[in-house]
Amino acid sequence: MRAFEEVLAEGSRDDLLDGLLHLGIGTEAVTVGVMDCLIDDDRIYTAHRPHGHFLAAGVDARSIMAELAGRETGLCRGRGGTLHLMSDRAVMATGIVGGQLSVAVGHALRQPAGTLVAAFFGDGAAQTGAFHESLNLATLWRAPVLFVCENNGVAEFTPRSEHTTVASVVDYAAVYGIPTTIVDGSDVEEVAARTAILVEGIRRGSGPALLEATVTRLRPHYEGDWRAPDSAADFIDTLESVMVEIGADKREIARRRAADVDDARLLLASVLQDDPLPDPADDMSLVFARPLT
Amino acid sequence: MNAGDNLVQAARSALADAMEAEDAVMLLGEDVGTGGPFGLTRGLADKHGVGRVRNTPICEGSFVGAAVGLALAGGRPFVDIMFDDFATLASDQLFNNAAKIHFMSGGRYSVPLTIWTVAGAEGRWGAQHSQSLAGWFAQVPGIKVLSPSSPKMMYSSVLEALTDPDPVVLFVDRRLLYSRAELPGDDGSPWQARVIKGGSDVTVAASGSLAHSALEAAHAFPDGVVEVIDLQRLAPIDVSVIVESVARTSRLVIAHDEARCGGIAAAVASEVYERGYWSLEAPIQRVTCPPTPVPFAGPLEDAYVVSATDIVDAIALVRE
Repeated sequence: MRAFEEVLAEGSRDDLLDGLLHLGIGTEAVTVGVMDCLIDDDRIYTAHRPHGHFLAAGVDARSIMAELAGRETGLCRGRGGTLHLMSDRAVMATGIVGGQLSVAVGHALRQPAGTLVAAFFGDGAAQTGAFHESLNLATLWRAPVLFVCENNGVAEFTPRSEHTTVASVVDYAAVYGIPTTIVDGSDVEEVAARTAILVEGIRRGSGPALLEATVTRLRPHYEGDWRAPDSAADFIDTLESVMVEIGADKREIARRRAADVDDARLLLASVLQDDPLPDPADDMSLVFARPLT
Repeated sequence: MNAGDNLVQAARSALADAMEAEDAVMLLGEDVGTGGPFGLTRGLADKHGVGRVRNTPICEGSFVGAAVGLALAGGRPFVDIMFDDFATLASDQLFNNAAKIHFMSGGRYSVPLTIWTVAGAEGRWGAQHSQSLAGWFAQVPGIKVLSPSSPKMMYSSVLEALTDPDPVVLFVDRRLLYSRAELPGDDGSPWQARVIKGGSDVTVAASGSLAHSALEAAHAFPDGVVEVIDLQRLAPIDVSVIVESVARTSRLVIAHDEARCGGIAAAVASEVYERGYWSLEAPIQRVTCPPTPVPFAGPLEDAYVVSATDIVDAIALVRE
């Protein structure tokens, strides 16, 4: 996930990739911790930093890379792009902040018993009416939705303190009386442990729950923005120190991380070289599932 | 449906039949469980339960979003947006999700969503309960818009919408809700424009209640002079029936109940100019509402709406 997105950043910088790339670098522990608690029949909705969620949901990395490169072989035949990935299990990403939440609630109403929809969103979405309406609908209808807020404290280019006076996103859920947890989003084991408790209740039919994970955005709002993020500790470095302390080989870790990046670079290069661009002549046939004459 | 049904009864009958035939059909909207303001869903919650005939809070943006999610998960949601004025609140879900998902997903997903919404000025309800925004829907690729003008066409339009794989907006003319008037060609397809009166000198294209007004206007002229076309489908716009008609009549009046800035009438006119210009012997005339919000006071509202007299005047003008 990290290597894949580091190569996306390179590809954007080197003009190999088009599109408005919003990376999730710094949030991977939340993705991994939450996904660890999901089963195959669960569904995932996400927002504008979707690549990690789609990879973790098991979507083929090459089809994601091909989509980001605007190829006919891409997940969405090159018609969606980074902000509009769609697949069977990770249903949708969206470029509209908050726009996925009510869709996730509706989808959850048709989920088989014991399964759920995990809806990832950022703290910026918590100020939209769509968030509040969706929380109300999900509670009212006891929809099996796990709302997952990746709270990086920044909404686009301004700090959360300029968007709201409410301290935490979970505060909003209190009036609905649904289960909530705030967790350190850099601690993958803690994320998984807290998620497991919330997910168990949802699967039993008790309705929605909200997980708020504090994270650090380690990249700009989108690739190419001139405002560099403040330097901050990378949880993966911390994780590595812990692994070395308990006996892992530091050079081996570095070698494997470099190899992952090399693999992602090769994947991008291969897509750019081999995968065909879409034909504009096909566009009209994709507007409708049943085109009218 | 039963003989003598009005448009609301015909739509309710279609909903009842569709719910009987297909478990995935589900109704959502404000007050649908109690029948809604016009009685569209009356009795359906008693029969099918409050899970399938689901009242929603007043939050168009999110209950339309929930319907998109139901559709993505294999459901067949039918959403009542009471007035099209309120569709503005759902515009993100309609325009950014419902309309685009089939395309953006490369065809992986479709959104079989039906929206029922009522539009049109009558009864002095003012600017936020009377406007007609059909042109909005028509401007966004990915949405189909039908405007049924008779009870039978309403019945088949609802059933067609509920079996279509794409988002379909049923754009319902408020002045026709309780109409029982039938039209020629009622057994045909709601997806194509239909000629409801033959004529040789002037073509009048209209939809909804204005299709009836256009018939009334045609009767002000000798029989066989005015040809009247009921558009039926407002998006994606298809002018082939009009172009074929204008090739014979050489004159076109388009009557549409919408503000004059942009909208359906302008879209139809520009398409006909491109394809039928050399047939025309007079400039196309649009009979529309003025580019103002719908006014409240009685004489103002009466002056605002398109009347049969306005259409008669336009027909006379293109014959000069």
